[in-house]
Amino acid sequence: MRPQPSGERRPATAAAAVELAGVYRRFGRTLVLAGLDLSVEEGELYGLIGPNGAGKTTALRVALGLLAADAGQARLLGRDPRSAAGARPRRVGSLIEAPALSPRLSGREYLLLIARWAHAPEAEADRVVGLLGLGRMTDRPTATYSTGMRQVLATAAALVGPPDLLVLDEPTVGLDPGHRRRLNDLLGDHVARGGTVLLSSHQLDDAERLCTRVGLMAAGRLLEEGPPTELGPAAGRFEITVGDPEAALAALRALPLICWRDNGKVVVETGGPYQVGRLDGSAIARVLAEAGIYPSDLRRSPTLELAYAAATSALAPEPLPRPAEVAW
Amino acid sequence: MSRAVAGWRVRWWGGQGRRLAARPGHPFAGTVALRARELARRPLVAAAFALQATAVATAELLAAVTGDGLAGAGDDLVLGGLRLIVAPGGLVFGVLVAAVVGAEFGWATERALLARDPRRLRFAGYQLAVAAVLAVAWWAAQSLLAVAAAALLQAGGGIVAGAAWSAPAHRAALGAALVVTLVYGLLGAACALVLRGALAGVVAVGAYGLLVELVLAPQWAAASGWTLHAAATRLAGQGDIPLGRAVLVIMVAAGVILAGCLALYARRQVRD
Repeated sequence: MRPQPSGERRPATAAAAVELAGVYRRFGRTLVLAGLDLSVEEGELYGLIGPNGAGKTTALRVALGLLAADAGQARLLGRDPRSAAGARPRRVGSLIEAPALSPRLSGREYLLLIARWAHAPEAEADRVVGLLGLGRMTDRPTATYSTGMRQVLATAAALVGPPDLLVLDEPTVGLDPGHRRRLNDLLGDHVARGGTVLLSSHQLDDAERLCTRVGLMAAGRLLEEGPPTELGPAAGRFEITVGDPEAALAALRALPLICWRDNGKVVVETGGPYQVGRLDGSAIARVLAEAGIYPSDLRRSPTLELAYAAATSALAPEPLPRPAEVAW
Repeated sequence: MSRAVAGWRVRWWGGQGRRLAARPGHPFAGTVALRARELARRPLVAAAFALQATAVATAELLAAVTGDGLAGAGDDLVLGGLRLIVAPGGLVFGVLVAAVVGAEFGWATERALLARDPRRLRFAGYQLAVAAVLAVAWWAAQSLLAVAAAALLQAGGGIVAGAAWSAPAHRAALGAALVVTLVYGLLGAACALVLRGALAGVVAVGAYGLLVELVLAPQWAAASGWTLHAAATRLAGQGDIPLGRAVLVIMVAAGVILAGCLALYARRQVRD
């Protein structure tokens, strides 16, 4: 973690940037969080994925202290997130649900408002404007912004500080491909510099590419978590595009490996999640090269999509009984 | 050259004279300043300022034309105008503050700010400070306009008021207008903070000011002399309740509103 320039000192014992332990939260009769355990280490880019209504946003709100847990414990940067202790704002940037902007302020004034509130230097507003390439758009009142521009500005506001921890709820919603890529790069840079990111997203490809760890959440609980390449039935699976699939299959089966043809591609199963000694892509390429086969494409199969489907299929409502089975 | 004055930085630019730069010396003051700038751009605020000023000027004009006097001040239109700013002007201002503070909940900026700093009392203090800045601006603008319009009407109509514009009664009414504007502003901000919305805040302040104070309280003699409205009108030089009671009511009301608002908002959970 970077040194604290403002004089704020983090507790020396803080290991987890965000920690939720057995958190329950109910809205009326609806149990939204049902004993959620979640731990995000410092320096991680943690993705929270799950179907709508899984409790992702509520979990982020509890983590930030916007909501109190009915039971269980929440810690943010080593402290109770709702505690008023400490005379300075914390170094946390967030974007929760829809962008929260003052419509009569210009974009730059809004960033200044956040900077002042966070006791950050005013130059921070200019820094994040440059980071996200907002340019002269920030001279206009935010009321004139499109949905995507509002999202970009709210993301820029989250980056003011700069914060040690970013908590982002579906940050790429409404973003054009350029801003989406830029944001993903910024998140990667943030983590590379020692920062921490906790984000929820429905963009499984982004989560798979960016996140160091992913948590699959449904019905208020964490069903599965781990590195994106180790989650679900597609962990350790590769897809190969070759001119002669049958020759490739023969070469790979000699190892032996489980492999099959799928839509003109060869799919190879190298082993289960976390299996020691599992072959990687370069080993597969070497095996194929020794057989005189040179693939035009060799890539790891997307894991999160299958993991998501496998985890959430268990939550689907039971099928209705067939008419013959109904007792009249 | 610059020096800090009450959290603000005052700069001198050679021949251009002294200016109050829009760059505050303290982050909290800077946040309030930005919000005040935002309020100045809102049509609702401009409309409320214009509406109240027009109402006061029209009342003064009618009093000058008909010769019936204004707010129990006879031909003294300056005093009459200032009394109108106290009541019902204070209540109008309370409704305006409830609307502008409550709007923050509609925009959800509360969420962004509390995520950065979880201290609810800091956020409530920020909103109350914004309300106080607006109150001072409201009081200054309305008083200036009321006094200027009254003085012009008196001079133009040859009306002899019997008291100079700087008479003690005028100064007392001016002071009462500031105090009452601040207290009603506090009430409006507190209602919006506790009820978390502009509409709910406006309805609460309006219902209290109109229904409770002006309709229900007069039905019960024991209560009628203990309302904010009664205290405000007494401070401005009208009414028949003791001055000490009026001061007490205003002070207790301010204390109760402030304590109640902070106590309730301190446990705020941001669901929206």
